[in-house]
Amino acid sequence: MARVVAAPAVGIWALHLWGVKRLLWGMPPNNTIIFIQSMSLDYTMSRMLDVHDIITLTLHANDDKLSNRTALQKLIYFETLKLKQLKKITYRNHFYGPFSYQVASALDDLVAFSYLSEQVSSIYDYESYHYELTKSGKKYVDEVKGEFADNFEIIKDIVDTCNNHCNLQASPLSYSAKAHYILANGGRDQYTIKDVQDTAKDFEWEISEDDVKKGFDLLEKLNLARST
Amino acid sequence: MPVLHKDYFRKKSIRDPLYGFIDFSDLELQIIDSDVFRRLLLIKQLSHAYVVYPTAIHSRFEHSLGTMHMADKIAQELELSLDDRKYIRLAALLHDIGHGPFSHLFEFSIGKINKDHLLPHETISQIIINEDPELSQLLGDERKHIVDILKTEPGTGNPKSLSTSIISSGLDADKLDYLRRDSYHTGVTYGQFDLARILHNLSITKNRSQVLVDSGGKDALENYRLARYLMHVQVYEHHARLAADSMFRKAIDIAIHEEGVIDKNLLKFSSSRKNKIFLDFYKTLNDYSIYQKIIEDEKSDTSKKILLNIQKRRLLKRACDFTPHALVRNEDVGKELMKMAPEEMDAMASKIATCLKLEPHEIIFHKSHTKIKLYQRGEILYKHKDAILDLSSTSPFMIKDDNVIRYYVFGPDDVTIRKDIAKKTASMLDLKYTDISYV
Repeated sequence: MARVVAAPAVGIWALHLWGVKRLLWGMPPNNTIIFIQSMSLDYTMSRMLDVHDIITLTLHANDDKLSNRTALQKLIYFETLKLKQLKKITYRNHFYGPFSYQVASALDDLVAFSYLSEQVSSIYDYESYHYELTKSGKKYVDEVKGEFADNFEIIKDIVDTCNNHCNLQASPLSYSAKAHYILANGGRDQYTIKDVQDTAKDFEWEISEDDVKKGFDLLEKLNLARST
Repeated sequence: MPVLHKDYFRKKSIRDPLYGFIDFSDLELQIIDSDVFRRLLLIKQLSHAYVVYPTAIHSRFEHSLGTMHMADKIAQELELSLDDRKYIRLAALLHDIGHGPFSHLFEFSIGKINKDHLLPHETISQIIINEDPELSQLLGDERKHIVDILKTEPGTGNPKSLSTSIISSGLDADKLDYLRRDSYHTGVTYGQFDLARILHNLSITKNRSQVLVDSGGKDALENYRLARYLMHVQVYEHHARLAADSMFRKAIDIAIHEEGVIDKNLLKFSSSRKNKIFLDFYKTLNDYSIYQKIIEDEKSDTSKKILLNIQKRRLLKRACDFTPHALVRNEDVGKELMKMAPEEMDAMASKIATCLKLEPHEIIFHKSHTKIKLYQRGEILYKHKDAILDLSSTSPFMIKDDNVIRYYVFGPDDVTIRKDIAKKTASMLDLKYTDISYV
């Protein structure tokens, strides 16, 4: 079994290409995976990026629109792990994976204040929410982007990576977010695919082996986990 | 650990208006007789809702007993062991032990002093259970288990245990008790739902970590969350209650942070060291003592005036209210208001008061958010055959999200003054006076 060492930050990535390749090409379930620590820092500087800003920047990074609240929650989950000058956003385990009430509440704010338009469509019995930046929203995001150019690049990179991975569909993003949440909170230093699958059950999450692999595939692309 | 007998929980019974009788074990009886628990008799469940519903003066004490009873009902339906039941009952009994005077209103001020703690009352509960000498002696080594069950703070990353889920989740003993209890005491019937059906159909997730109902109880769940919504709109967010609560919050804030009536240092706590000074002081606080403490203190001035006004029911009244849709004409103002912290709203109110030659405490800005969590996806689950489904995803009902945010501006009783407040608010926020004025 390959061994896992705690990886403190970005930069070690290149040293583990072999492991990464093995994961990408179908890692056996007993291979181990490392959780790469969050880079998110609270700087005590003037203005901090807040949850409203992150939501608008995320939509902007995807041509000013986004479908599905779950997808948005998971994208922001990944972003909070990498952004700088960020006001703290807390996540808790939820039926659909890591979930933040702050994000849900800020989304309500942005719709109520007409920075986002919200449309609900029904596909069979399932409601899907579509969000788009309004004219005011675009003006808002332009200002924030000017203020936090570096952070926007990080968000854009995450959104593009997730888009290439799964067209921003909620389920694959959710598998990755669940997998990361388990690595970050499961209490162990190292995990196999099987370990993650088993730990997921503690959170009432049913994830197949294939889903876990796909989840890690994205985490590796985002540089949030690596295998050895 | 000695094996518990099924009659362990039936040492004594106490009358309750909802359940007829609630049974107690010897240990539970000693807990409810402790000073720190009896303090809950003097903390009203619905803070200032009595200004609208005069009979809403029931306490956190009776709700705690009711939550324990309800948690045990759930545990029995799920056929949990006597040992599990014992801990679940104790945790449910103590779930509100950390609340201060007027519950969440005091929490707001104490939160400003203890900024590292997301949910101050939860940390205070832990401190009380771990450090109160009477409870320590009664609970001994069992304290840790109880504290673990009561931990719900987000960001801890741990999966919830079934015991935690029974006390705090979308479908929990806390809400199953308080909705019906608040309904009973206010006289409104909106909080009623088919409890028998929910209990009869209770089930758990495959991994035995979360409470749900099987599909036969799905409509009862709809009934339950609609009850939560209606109670919110009719009772918990009633504008007169909001006015009284906002006035109290302001009085406490002034008493602590401006007038020094209450020493801030006495309200500082820590989860990593002993908190004797904090605990000794906190245990003296309740709905009645806080009024007395402030009103009788020589240093109090504005805080005293505000509390006397609440006592005499000289409440501030709505000058205007508006939803954010009214603001779209000025995006910059909208952005500022959207992100405004309560302290900043206080500052805006003070500014208007100064312009109108009123005292700062005579105008209050309040943001009301009426979104009900139980209608969010994934909050309530049910079981259909072997599949676990999300009620929100399959329900024919949803709450329209329009107007979930509403701002209230409260001012003195005088209609002319309130009109002036509405005009000033309108000009400050670039709103149309006629769109927002209430008077």
